[in-house]
Amino acid sequence: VSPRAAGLLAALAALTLAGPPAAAAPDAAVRSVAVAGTSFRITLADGRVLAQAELPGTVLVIGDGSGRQRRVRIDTVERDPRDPAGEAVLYGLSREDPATGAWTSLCEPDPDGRRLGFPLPGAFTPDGRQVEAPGRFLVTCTGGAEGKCVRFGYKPWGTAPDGSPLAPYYQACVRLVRADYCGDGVGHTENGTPIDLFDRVGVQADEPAAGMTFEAAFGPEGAVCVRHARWRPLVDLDALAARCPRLAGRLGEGCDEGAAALLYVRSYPR
Amino acid sequence: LGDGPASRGRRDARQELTMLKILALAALVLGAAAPANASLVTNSLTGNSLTTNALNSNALTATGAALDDLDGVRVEAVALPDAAR
Repeated sequence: VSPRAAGLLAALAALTLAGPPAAAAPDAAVRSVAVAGTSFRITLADGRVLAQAELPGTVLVIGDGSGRQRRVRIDTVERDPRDPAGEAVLYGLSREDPATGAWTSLCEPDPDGRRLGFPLPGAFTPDGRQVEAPGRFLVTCTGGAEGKCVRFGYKPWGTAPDGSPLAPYYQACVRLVRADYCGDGVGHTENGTPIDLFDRVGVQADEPAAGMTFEAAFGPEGAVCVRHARWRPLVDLDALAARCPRLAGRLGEGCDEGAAALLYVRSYPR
Repeated sequence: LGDGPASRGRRDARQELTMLKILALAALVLGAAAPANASLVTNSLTGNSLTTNALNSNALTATGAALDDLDGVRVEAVALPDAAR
């Protein structure tokens, strides 16, 4: 651990957000840390909220309440250029190897080759449901389904142009991106598989991509119907019918863009 | 020589012709640009782009295997950089 990092760690603060303080030296400088949208919001004891530009270099000691902790450092901060509202923030994040003290990037490269991530309030259950969890958050990378769906425009805290709350759309998007047809947290796709998703609430336009065919319609609980599987070698319609009894009768040619659903997806037949 | 009224008249005529050529060329350029611009608007990269219409590669891993421990977590402590203090 570098002397600077050691100095920083010596000043670790217990936070009101976190409930019981962790085993870290208290620091009266910080009153609380919260997650708002995709950004960390750090409030100092005097009430001042740190500007995002002041955050690089901050080390967050993150835990799940079990006593295990990870040290995550904010290296860079930038506004998401894909967010027309300008409210989404992306971070370059590193984590410390507890054995060696070395810092490495937290995120794998996304499709643009960038290693960025951000926090989102709440948590995901093992079966892929996003749930509210006061004071808690998850960290997602821009290459992950949770991160991508925010950047597609399905901000779980926001509303669509037609006024619809986007939280169920966000949940449906994560299912869709992962081809989690059954809604049980099991994905049926391969990384890097192109997809084209759209909705009826004005977030993602229905603009067919050449060569792609309609694949499925999705809701928060998984697929509403499936016309063809994204990757047949991974799962075909017969296997889906066996795995997801609720989809029986909703598989094959009868599934199209007219299905009552939140999101729709096209993909290349494989 | 060449500076009499007739010569000035020819020179003025040439200048006028040159100006007309420039205007005609400008009109040609503007006329050609308009359809191209319209095409960009109706069938543009932004309208059906990787970002707007989400023709994106997907991700099987929810948050990335490296982040499994960072789901439903909380900040238990923080160390600020000196500049933020």
